[in-house]
Amino acid sequence: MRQCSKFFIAALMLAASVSLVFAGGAAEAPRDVSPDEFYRSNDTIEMIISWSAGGGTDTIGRLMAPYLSRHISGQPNVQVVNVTGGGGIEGHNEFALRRRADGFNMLFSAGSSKMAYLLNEPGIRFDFADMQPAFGVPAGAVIYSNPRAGVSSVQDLLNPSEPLRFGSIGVASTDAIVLLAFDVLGLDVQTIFGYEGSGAIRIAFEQGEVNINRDGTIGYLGNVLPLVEEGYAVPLFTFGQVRDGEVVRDPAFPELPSIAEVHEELYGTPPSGHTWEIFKAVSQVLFTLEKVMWFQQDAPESAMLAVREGAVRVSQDPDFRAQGQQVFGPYELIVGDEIESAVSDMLSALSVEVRQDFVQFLVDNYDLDPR
Amino acid sequence: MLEAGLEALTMILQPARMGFILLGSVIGIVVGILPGMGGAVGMSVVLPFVFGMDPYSGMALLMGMVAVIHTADTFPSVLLGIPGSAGSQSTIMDGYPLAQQGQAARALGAAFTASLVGGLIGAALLFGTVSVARPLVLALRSPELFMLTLLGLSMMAILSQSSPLAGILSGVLGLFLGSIGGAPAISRYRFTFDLIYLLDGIPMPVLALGLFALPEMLDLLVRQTNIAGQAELSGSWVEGIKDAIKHRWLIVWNAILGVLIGVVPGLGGPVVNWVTYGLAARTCKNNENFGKGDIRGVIAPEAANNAKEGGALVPTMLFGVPGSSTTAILLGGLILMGIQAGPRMVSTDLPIMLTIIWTLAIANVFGAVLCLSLSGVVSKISLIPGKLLVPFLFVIMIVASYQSTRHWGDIITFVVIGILGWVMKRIDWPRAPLIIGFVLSTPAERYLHLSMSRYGFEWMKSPIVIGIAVAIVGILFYGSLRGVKKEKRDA
Repeated sequence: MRQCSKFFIAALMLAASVSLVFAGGAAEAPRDVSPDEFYRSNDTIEMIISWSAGGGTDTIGRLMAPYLSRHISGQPNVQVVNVTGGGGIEGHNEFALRRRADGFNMLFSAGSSKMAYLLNEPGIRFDFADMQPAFGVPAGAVIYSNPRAGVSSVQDLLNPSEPLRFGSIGVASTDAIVLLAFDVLGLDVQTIFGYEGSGAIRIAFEQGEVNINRDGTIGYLGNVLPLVEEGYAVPLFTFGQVRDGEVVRDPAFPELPSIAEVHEELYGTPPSGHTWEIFKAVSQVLFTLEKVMWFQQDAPESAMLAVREGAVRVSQDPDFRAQGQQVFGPYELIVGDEIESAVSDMLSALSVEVRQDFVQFLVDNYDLDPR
Repeated sequence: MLEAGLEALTMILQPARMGFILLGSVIGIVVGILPGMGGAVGMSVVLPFVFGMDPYSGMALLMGMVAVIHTADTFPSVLLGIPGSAGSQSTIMDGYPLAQQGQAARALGAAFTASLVGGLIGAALLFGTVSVARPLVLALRSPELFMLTLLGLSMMAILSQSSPLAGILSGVLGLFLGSIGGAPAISRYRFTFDLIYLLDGIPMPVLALGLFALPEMLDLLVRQTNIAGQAELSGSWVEGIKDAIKHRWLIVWNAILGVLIGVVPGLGGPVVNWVTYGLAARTCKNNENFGKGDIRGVIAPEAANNAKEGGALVPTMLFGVPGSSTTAILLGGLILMGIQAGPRMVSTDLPIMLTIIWTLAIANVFGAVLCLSLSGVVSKISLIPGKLLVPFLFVIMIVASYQSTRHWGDIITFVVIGILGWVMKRIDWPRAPLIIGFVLSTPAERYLHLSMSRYGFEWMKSPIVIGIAVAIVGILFYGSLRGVKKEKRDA
C-alpha cells in the first residue's frame, strides 16, 4: 500500500512537470499602427528555424538576427528559435498552425522544406500560399568532377573513362534537382543513395567512391576550391539562376558556364523540352529564391512591412555585406518589391502540374513511392 | 610545426582568452551535470554570444565548453545512474554500482583523472597527426565504415555474457527501435504510423534517459533508502586518483582507442563509449566484477570519451563533417566568426586549428580540476533519501527529455521506454545491447547499402575489411577461450 502511494506521488509529479512544460507565454492585443511604429525596443520577434542549431539555414538566420534587430524600426529583439523534427516539417507546421499571427513570429524556410512541399511528403500541414514574404536569400550550386576518376572537362561527361557515379542522401531530398540536371544533359549516371550528408559525400568524392558531385556555394568555396587548386577536382558548371524564365550564370561564379550553356556546348542547341521546364521551375524554388522569411497571411501587414523595410537597410549595411559574403556567398538579399515578384514566380513554379510532373519523373526513374 | 604550436599558445595565453576558456568550462560543467543535456544544448546557449567575437576568443569559449562536457557528465552517470550525455552511457555500468556501495567519491576521482589524462593524450595525438590525418579518413570508404559498425555491434555479445539469449533479443530490439523513422537509403518511412514526431526517429537522449534513469528512480523509491544504501560514504577522490595511477596503461590505451574511433566520421560518441567499455570488460584480467562496480569499468570509457573529442576534430575541422550535434554547432559558430572548416585548416588556417587544440588541452585541465574539487561535496547526493531526491530528479528528467526536440512525443517516449527499461531490469535483461543496437542500426544499414550498391561483393576483398573482420572474430573468441580455460582451472 505504501508503495502504491509512492507511485501515485511520482505520477503526480510527472503530471505537474508536464503541465509546467506546456504553460505558454502571455498574449498581447494586436497593434494597429504604421510599420514605423509597430515594434518597440522591448519587443521580441521569434525567428523559427526548422533545423537544428549549426546547420546552414540556422547559421544564416543567426547572422541576420542582430542586423535585423538593428535595422527594423523600433529595434525589437530578434531571437532564433530552433523547432526541429520531421526533417524541417515540424517547425513549418508549428508556425502555420500553432504560432499566433501577431507579427512576433516569423519563419525562415529553406530549400529542403520546399522540396518536401514539392514532393508532398507525409505530415505537411502548411502551405506557402498562406504566407506573406518579408525578404529572401538566393543560393547556388556547382557541379564538379574528379579528374582522376575519368572526368576532367564538360566534354568528358558524354564519354567518361569510368562510369559516372553520383552520391546522394536520398531521392526525396534537394539532390533530386541534380537528378533532373543529369536527365536534361542526357548523362548516364549511376546514383548511389544513402549518404549521411554533403560532407560525407565530399569524402566519398575524394576517395573516388563517387566521381561527380554537387555542392552549395559556401561548401564549394570552403571545401572544394582547395581541392581544385591541387588538381583533385574540376568545376564543370553551375545550375545558374532563373531570370524571367531564362537560366543565367550564377553571380557567385561568373567564370563558370550555366547548365544551359553546357547543353549547347554538348549538343549545339539550348536545352528544351519537358524535363527542362521542370528543372527551371524546381531551380527557381531551390536556388533563385532559396530561403524566405515568412509571416502568416493574417499577420498584421505593418509588421511584415516593418521587417521588409528593415531588410532593405540590412542589405545595404557594409558590415552585413562583408559577413554575408562568408556565410552565404556573394549574393544580394532579395528585398523590397523584388521579393513579391520572386515569391509569385516561386508559387507558380510550385504549381500542382509541376509538382505532379516532378514526382512522376522521380517515380519513373528513381523508384520514388508514388504519392 | 612545433614553432607554429608555440605561436598558437601565445595567442591563447592572453588573460581575456583564458577567461573565455574558463567561462566555457564552467558552462560545460553545468551542461554536463544536468542529465540529458548534451553539448548541443550548451552550444545553442553560447552561440549567440560568439557572434562578433574574434575567432580566437570565440573558439576559446566554444571549445572550452565542448572539452569539459564529457568530463562533467560523469557526475550524473556515477551518482544517479543517469547518462549525463551520450558520451557517458557506459560509465553507468560500473560507476553507479560503486556509488551504491558508498564509493561515489572514489569513482568520480578515478573518472576525472582518467578524463584529464585522456583529454590531454587526445589533444597531443591530434597535434602530432593533424597534418597527416586526411589520408587516414580517406582510407575509410563505405565498406570499411560498415565493418567498423559491425565491430561496434559485436560489443553486444560481450556485454551480454551473463545471458546471451536475452542479450541478443535486447540488441535486436535496439536495432528495431533504431530503424524507426526515415530509412537511410530509400525514400521511405518505417513504423512512423503517420506521426510527425517519429519521422526523425526516437531521439537518442530520450531513449538513454528512459532506459537507464527511470528504472533506477523507481527502484530507489521502492527500496526507500538513499543511493548509497548506507549512512556514511567510504572512499575519497584521492583514492580514485590512486586507482587511476595504478591503471595508467588502461588510460593510455583507451585514450588512443578513443582518438582512433573519434576520427571515424559517422560513428559518434556512444560508440566510442560502449566499444571501449566492452573491450575493457573483455580483455582485463579478473573481469568477473565488471558491471558490479569495477573501477576499471569507469576509467576505460572516461579516458576514451575525452580523448575522442580530439579525434572527432579531424573529420569536423579538416572535412567539415560534424561527428555529432555538438560539433555541428561548432561548425556553425565558426562560420559566424568567418572561418570555414575544410582542407585549409592545415594550410592557411593552421594557426586557428592549433589554437583549437591548445584550447582543448587547457580546458581539459580546467574541467578536471574543477570537477575533482566538486566531487567530494557532490558525491553526498548519494546520501540523500530517495523519497526526497526522486521527485526532483523526475522533474529534471522530464524537462531534459522534453528539450530534446521540444515535442510532447519526447515525454511519452520517455515514459514508454522507461517502463520497458524497468521491465528489462526486473527480468534481468542486459540493457546495453539495446542501446548499441539502437545507435548502430542506421549506420549499419547505410554503409552496407552504400557498399553493395557501389562495389557489389567486391568490397569484401579490401584488406582493411578483412583485417577488421579478423579483429571482430578475435574479440568474440578471445573471451570464450579464456572462459573455457578458466572453467578448466576451476574444475
